[in-house]
Amino acid sequence: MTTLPRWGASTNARTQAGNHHRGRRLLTHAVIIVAGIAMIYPLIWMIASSFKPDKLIFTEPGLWSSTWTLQNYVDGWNQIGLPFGLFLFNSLIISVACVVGNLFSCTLAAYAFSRLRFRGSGAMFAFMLVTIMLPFQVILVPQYILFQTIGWTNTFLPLIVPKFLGVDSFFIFLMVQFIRGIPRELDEAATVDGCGPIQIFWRVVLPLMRPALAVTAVFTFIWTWNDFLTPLLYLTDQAKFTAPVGLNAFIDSTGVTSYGPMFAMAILSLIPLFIVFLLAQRQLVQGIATTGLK
Amino acid sequence: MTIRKAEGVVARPRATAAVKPRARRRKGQRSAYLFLIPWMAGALLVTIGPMLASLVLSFTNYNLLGSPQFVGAQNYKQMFTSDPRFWHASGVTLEYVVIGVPLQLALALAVAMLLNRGLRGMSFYRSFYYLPSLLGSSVAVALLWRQIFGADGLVNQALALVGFHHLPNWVADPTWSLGTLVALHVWAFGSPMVIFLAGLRQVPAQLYEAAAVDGAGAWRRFSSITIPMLSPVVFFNLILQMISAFQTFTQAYVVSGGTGGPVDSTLFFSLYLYQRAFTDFDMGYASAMAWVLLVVIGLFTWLAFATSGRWVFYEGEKE
Amino acid sequence: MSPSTFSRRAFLGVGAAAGVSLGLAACSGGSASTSTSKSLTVAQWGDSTRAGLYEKATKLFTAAHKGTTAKLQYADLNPYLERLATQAAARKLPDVLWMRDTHIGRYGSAHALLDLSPYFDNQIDTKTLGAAAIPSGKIAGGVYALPTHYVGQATLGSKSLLDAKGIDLNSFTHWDDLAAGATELADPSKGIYGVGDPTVNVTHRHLEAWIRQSGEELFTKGGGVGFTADTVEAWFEFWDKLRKSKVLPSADREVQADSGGSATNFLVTGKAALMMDSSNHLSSLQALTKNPLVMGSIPTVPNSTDDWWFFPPILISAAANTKNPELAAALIGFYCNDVPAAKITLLNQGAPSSDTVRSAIAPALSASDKAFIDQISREQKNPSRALPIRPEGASQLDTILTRTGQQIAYGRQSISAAVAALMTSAKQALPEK
Repeated sequence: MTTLPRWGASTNARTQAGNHHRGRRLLTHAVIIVAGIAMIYPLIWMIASSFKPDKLIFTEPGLWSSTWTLQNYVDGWNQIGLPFGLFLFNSLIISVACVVGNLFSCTLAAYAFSRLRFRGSGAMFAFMLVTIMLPFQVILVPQYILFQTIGWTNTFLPLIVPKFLGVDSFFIFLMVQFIRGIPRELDEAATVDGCGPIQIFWRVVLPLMRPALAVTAVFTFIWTWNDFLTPLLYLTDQAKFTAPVGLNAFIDSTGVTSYGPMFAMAILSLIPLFIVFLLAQRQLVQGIATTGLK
Repeated sequence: MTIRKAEGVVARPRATAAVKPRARRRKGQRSAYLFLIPWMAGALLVTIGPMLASLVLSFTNYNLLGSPQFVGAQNYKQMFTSDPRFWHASGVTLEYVVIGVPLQLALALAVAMLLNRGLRGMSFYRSFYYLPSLLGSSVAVALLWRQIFGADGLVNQALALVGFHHLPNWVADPTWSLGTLVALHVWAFGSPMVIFLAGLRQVPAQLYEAAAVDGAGAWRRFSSITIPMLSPVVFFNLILQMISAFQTFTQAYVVSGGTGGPVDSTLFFSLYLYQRAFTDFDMGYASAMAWVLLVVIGLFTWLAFATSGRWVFYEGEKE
Repeated sequence: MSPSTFSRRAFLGVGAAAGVSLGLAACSGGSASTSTSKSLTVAQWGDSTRAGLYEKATKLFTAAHKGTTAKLQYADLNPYLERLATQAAARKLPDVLWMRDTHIGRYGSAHALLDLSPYFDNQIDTKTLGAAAIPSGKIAGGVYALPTHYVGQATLGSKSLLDAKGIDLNSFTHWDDLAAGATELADPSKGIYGVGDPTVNVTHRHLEAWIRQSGEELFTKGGGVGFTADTVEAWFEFWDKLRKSKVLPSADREVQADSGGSATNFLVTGKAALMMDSSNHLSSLQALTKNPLVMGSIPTVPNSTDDWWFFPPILISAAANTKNPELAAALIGFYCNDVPAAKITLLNQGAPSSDTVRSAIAPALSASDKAFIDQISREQKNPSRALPIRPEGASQLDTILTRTGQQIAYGRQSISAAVAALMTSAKQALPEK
């Protein structure tokens, strides 16, 4: 009897003990670390700058500084009249809500497109792809007028509700591709057991989609968090600002920009994203659990 | 055990299928529409209306402050016959797509494979390589990028150490400014990398082991196992990175300050569109530009789909 | 029912309730601003510092008018203009809004703004705002904006570098004097430029001054192109000569410094002896550097007209769709004339347009702020013919000029070719009515 394919397992089995391989491993580690540092050097610069006094950031542009200070963090937190933590909190609410919305609406739509046959599926799928391709600038104004008419401006609703309606075709397409990689035999086996499409979705497909769900959740969170133009347009109350809008408030293109505090708050805004990514990573790593079928 | 069950069941499906095909099909259709209710609601309410509105606007003169005035195909005509900046912006965008997308995907795949080895600390390294993407297109990035690629920036300092001098100001020199944006795009390869990783995880280790037993070398394993098994994911990343590269706006806006870089060298199509809409108050023309972009992207996507049959292999749909 | 399902259901219930209440909270915030009680939305561009000052100042107004509230919205300039345009399309402009002089023509002639002239007797006192005040917002018979502040053009310089060569920037009567001074001040061995390059930036006030000095205007009364190719060519040739002799920074250096804002200004980083700038920037630049900075009026062309002086206004308007026009007008009058408010906002947006206000706040100002106010007050005594109202394509002209300047600076086009292209594009963007 063939053993089940070990989905998601690493190929460590092939590594043999011995100095030759340990040396190779060390070299790999070294390459990864050095390349990694080169990659994130700009980030390191930003972190270093956030601890330099505002005036020295561009006059002493190296990594090192003559004086180190926490003042940027203190200033940045309170600079905009409201604590920056409020903006982080707003961003959190909106991002989490969007993740829930996307997970809900995109899984449903993706399952229908990839597994179910129905009249008009080709046309609707093509339309879905088309919505990915439309540049946002032109539906910006008509959408704003739409939301303005129903009185949703200056609320979080225009940012969240569309996610529950499957507007993020990117993730629908991603999930479609993933589901197509799941063997149909599993569906058929479940059908034989008496499952209808809904149960196949809930019991067979959804559990096997965990990497796609994780990707969707992580990307939705990060992209929603980083979105600047939509919250800027709809949220005029300072108390409703999200983190990127708050960061932009440090900028005055007609005057003086407070770079130090802005870098400090930008670093703070990065931390939740980093944590989310760290946590969700394990889901990606675990891959598909074979016992998920029971 | 499930596979065994499936194998054992192979002999039977014809029998069950013959019993009530139409009923099952109808049930399938009904459930399909049920599953699609949220999506259809979204499409109708939030997407189609504004899309149609923008299409209509493309045939008008609309300065946002007054009412749209119908002018027929004048916007399209002007775009194609008397607007050199339109062609320039198209060229800039095309160059960016053709160079930036393959470069980014290649790097993403290479790093994903490197990180898939199962060495200790891999999850930490993964996050490290993903960090640049987290910065997104924030303003902080623009400042960083100018710092790095400026005349006395980090890149030039590093190159000076190795002996190169009299280097250009990458970010403010029209010859190189687009290159810095390509570099920014490639630098933030985290998203396709993560998707490649998820896809690599789906390749059964068994296949690699069997190939190793058969004596296949690393390259053979890559080209005969990894690439075909990963092809749906490669296809997905290719399509979506291409579409998003055609639509690049925020990075160019932020790094060039909304101007399109020194002498229009970073005037991306979307950026020019934005300028026509909000600086020149010519929303009709901007809508026309958007639909042209949509058609071009659609063409490229259709091409990709049409040629995909040859190289994309879906494991779940062997027929 | 297993414990896990029960708790999951309860959790979902709590989550739903939380979501609904969040939604309601978010909604209620929105509905308050559109209620019929006496409330105003106020919009301005700038950063959080400016917003903070104006919040405080506006509180003085709402305290004096019982039963009124005001909500301030702000964003950086370009996002502000984008949001404004979108709000205008939805016919929902903020009640009171600050307006760029480049955009007043467009918004005014589209009747998106409130005509303020009916309120001159009562809510808005225009007597002390200066002769240029009403014309700056007058379009097609109505007055759609008033200036709250003025800014001016100036030559700024680094005192130490000037003193070292014994040069006084007030001695630059003509542009050639400035060129000569800059050439002497340039020190390539130390990497010091004589003067910064004003031709590649996003605004072109100094070119406008040059044009007015030459007897022309940016725009004709009919909204067409008011300047000639020769005048503009002379301007670009002047700066190109300095660039070729390395008195000016190279194009890429200047573009990079400009894009970094005040923090990377050459006077702040000590890389230039002189800069052409706006007079209200003296304070903000001085705050960033220990090198003392000095300021003087800009030079003129030989045989210049006498009445070329002009002061770009920072304008304020009310929306035509406002539900509280009298209150909006009163707030505009407040921002223009109220002395306690001005003592809070000081010179953050420029020199207050009302000379009463200017004299009232003068004692509280820092040295560089005083220098700025003194220069404006001094220059305003000079004859000044009316500025033409910016027509609809005015914002496009700036981008065209920047492109032209950059083409020349980067050596991409000869000056004559670039100026020819400029005239063609300008005539397209500014059709004569």
